[in-house]
Amino acid sequence: MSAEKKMKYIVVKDLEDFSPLIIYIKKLYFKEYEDVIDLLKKKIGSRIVCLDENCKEIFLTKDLSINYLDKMLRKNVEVIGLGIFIGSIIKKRFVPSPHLLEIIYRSINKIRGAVSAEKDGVKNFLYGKDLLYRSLKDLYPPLEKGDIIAVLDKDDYSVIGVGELLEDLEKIMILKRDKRYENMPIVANVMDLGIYLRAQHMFIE
Amino acid sequence: MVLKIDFREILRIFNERLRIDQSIIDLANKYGYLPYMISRYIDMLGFDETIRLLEAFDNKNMYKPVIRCNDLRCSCRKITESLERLGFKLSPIEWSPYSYKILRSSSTPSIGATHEYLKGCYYLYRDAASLIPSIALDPRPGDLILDTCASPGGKASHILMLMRDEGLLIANDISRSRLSALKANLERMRFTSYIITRYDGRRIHEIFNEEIPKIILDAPCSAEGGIMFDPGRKRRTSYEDLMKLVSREIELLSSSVEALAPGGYLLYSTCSIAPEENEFVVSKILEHYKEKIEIIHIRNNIWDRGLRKFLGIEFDPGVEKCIRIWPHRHSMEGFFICLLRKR
Repeated sequence: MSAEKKMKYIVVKDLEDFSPLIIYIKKLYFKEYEDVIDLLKKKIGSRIVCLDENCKEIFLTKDLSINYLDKMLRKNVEVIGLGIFIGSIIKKRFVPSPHLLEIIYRSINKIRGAVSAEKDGVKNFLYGKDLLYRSLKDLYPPLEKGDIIAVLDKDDYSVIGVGELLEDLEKIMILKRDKRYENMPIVANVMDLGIYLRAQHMFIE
Repeated sequence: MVLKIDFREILRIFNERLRIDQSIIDLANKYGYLPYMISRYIDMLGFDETIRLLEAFDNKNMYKPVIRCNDLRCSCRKITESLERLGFKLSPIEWSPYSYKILRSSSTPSIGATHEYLKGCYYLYRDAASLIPSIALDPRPGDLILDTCASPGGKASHILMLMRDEGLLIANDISRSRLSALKANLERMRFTSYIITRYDGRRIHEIFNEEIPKIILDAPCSAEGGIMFDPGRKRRTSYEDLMKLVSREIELLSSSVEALAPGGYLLYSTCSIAPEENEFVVSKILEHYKEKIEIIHIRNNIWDRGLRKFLGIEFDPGVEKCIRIWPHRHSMEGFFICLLRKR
């Protein structure tokens, strides 16, 4: 069922019809992409919601939420968020959230399009800094220069953020062994979990 | 119809019963309070126990911050082990699963800045009393629940955890800045079964007409139970200001009652020890809705019961089924929790 609704600035689509996400998942999982989509639908829901025209914030949610979303919007209630934040469209490109990637990795038990980081790299990345060669631990292809990839904590494989890969996989393998590159960035920070400290007013209750 | 009572009318009810003599003024000056506050404490507790309450408000070390593990996302055992490695000393809270008092903190990182915190493995509270309202509502997987004033998300995230993130929580608030904290907390903890909305809680019945089976209203209050965290509160809120809050609390609770489905449960709580904001508000609602609403006994009340009488005013007998937390008796922030049911 293809059901695109436009309500004020809010856009609701079926998961399969949201091409930026489908393209991203296909690139990572090739033929298995349908399994990933099925898992997302089963675990979270099948409806994509953008809360603004430009899809700066994209959410995945279930039908039950959409029923209430409809109701809220009819009554002019402002909706701030719902379901799970799965990413943003930044400069016409889909940037997945750490939340989405972690759900995919944990559900399908296959990490793709990611690198893991050593302890100091995790700490620095969570401070909003780039990941350096010296903090690079493992590589999970496909990895091409310019890709938006996940950065994992090597200790628990949780996704601590996403960033833009600055070299191709083959070149990384070579440069990683070269001491002159150890303090050079390899993943430019795009989004990390430290944002919950940096951008948020703290209201402790 | 939503109950609205002008604050001046409420002020008149209480003002004419309030007695302030020189001994009260002297005690208020000694501890730095407005005299009306001391007068009320003596009415509720007597002189000797009032001194214990005032001493408890002045002793911030009595209260410990609390974490509640998000067991849907992380192993609680691993979190506690990791925090202990960082230098924190934790002690489990018997009456709240997955919850720990922080007896000793590490100098760095702070408990609100660890990697585990950023990964959504736990929620941080300044005090354990905030855990009680969500437990008392008894959320179950698949429930539809409205949190009328949800920011910053301590109760909302607790409810979602107890629902096992199945069903739907409508987490509403009116304050834009506080909503950003709510959104950050629910996102950080990776819950999926929620909608965050911005609407005036006093008009929530305009959206939901007798259709929500479970509602929690942790009303914005005077915070008279949290003076240990905010000593400025000793002199900041005049009796007239308090009555304005009472008037708003009545309206908020009444609107939530209207939104509640028949047979549904509504949990009302405040972080205040003021009977005006608690037993009085609930009694007014019972009076307004008559047989439609009843107070339900909350299981496992190991704390105190609601007050039947205050400044000579008799409240509805049902308020004894509510929970009262006193700082000097329970070593927690002052709180009031009351469970209502719509017939």
